[in-house]
Amino acid sequence: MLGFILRRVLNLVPLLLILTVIVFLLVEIAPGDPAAIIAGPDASPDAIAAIRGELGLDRPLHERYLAYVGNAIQGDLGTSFVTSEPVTDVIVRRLPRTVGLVALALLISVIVSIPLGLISALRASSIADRTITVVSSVLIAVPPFVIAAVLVRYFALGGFASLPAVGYRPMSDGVGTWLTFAILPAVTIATISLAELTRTMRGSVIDAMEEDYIRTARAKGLGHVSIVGKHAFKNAAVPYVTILGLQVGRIVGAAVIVESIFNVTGFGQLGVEAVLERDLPTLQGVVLVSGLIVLAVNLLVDLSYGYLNPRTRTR
Amino acid sequence: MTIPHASRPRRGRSRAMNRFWADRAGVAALVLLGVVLLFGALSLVWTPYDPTAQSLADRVSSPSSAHWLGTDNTGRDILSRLMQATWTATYASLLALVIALVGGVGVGLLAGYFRGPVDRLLSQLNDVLMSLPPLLFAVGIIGALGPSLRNAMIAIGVLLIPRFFRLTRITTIEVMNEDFVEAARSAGAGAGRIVGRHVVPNILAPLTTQVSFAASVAIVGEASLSFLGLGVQPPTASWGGMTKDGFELLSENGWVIIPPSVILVVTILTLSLLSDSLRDANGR
Repeated sequence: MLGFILRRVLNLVPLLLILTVIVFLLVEIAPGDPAAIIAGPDASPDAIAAIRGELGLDRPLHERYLAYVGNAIQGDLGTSFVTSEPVTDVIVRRLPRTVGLVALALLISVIVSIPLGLISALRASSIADRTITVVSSVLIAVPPFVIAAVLVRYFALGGFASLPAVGYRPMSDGVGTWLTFAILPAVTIATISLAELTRTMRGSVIDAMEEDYIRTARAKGLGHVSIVGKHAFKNAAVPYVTILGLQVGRIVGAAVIVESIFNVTGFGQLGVEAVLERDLPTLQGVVLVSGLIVLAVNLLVDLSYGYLNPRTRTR
Repeated sequence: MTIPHASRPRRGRSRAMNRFWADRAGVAALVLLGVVLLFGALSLVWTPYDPTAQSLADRVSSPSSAHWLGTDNTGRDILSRLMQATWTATYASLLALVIALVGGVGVGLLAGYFRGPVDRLLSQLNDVLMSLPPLLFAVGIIGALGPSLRNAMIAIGVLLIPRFFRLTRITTIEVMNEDFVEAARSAGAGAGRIVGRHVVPNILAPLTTQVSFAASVAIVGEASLSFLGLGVQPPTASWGGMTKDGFELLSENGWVIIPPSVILVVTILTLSLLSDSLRDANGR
């Protein structure tokens, strides 16, 4: 198992290398001189040159790349062009809000998709199954901001409930308060992955139920609950966890738009602000950290195969 | 077109075509898509009102005989704006698709044809591109290049490259192992001829399914970025921008958001229906 973990971690090295190169190059492809942006429109050429030297922009490309990675490893992602605050500090402050939303969204997705997928699979072609399938296909087609609009219309502006339509309160204000602000954004994010997760659960349980070990379990007299719960479900978990891992990238991406809709000053909103203010170091930091999060989640998913399906450990 | 080389893929394609035309849902989707396209193209020559003309006296109204789909928060005619936005979506998704196809198919052919270290490097690059959160990565590219529709579609196009890369690479590898490629090679055919006459015709069918799917991703991407203000810049109309306008009016008027949302969702559903039936017709 240790060798398996080590191999998977080593696999990350080339991915990390390419990720950092891409993030580093974001500034290189940007039109205009970062030093001129910081110096402002009225700065003298000397002042711009001084800032260039300060930022190290007069050094060769590979040296600057190595310096960027070296600093990043030590937790220094540069200084914001706009607020002059260290990018790492801003990210550390903003990230927990997004993590909270994403975690709640994933929880909702999992809690809803597992029973729906199981019902669909065990009662295949029933009215319940068809309804779930049709609703899932439609949900996949609806962009998050349309879902958000429907939720706000009916659950914030009256109709079914009057939850807060926009804004955010940290969890330190009480979990209940946090939840009233976080629930609509989280449900919006959850619908993005819900449909696909339900489909995956349905498909893999149907496949698992046709396997020989299910027949064996049934033959030795196991009850329906324990056949489904212990045998079908655990084997169906492998594809489900894979898709769940793939959803994390989409969900973190969707957090950008959902935070903007609900005016949550989180990590995704930070990225949008950085674009609008041309704050390149912050932008680099946001893209780098989100890439790292997704790589880390993919690693966890890979490692979970080792637990769920011992055969993969030797590969 | 010379008959002997072209006959193999062409026969396959026409069988797939027959299967496609027999599928009512697929044909209906194609017709509906055509209607949406015409609706947008019409805006190039005629719209009921100027899509950007404001009229504060007619601010926020529901459908009437003067304004069939009502007016928005600055009194602009929603029908006219919707027509312009439909054209924006068409143009934007075509731009992204061209970037994705040229990039993905070109690089995929290289990787699949040459294999070895070239393939390993390109595949690694592809894995990283796929592991990045798509929307955030698009935001990164737009941040570097500056917010505009063109830059937004470059970002979406780059994000779609991996889909076409993977498909092209794997199909190229499959085709390269076929006997007819070996035969062509021993008859003295060069790389260009093998790729042009044997590989490309064989990847066209699976590509059509991906194109239809990628178009829906491009449309949602454009709408999302325009919603954030990072895509189409006002006053030009876009589905995402119009939805944003409607969203901000939600507490005052529930109508304004409906037309852009409905056309967006219907178009995406139509594209997904189309790609399903193309996949069935191609037998993949």
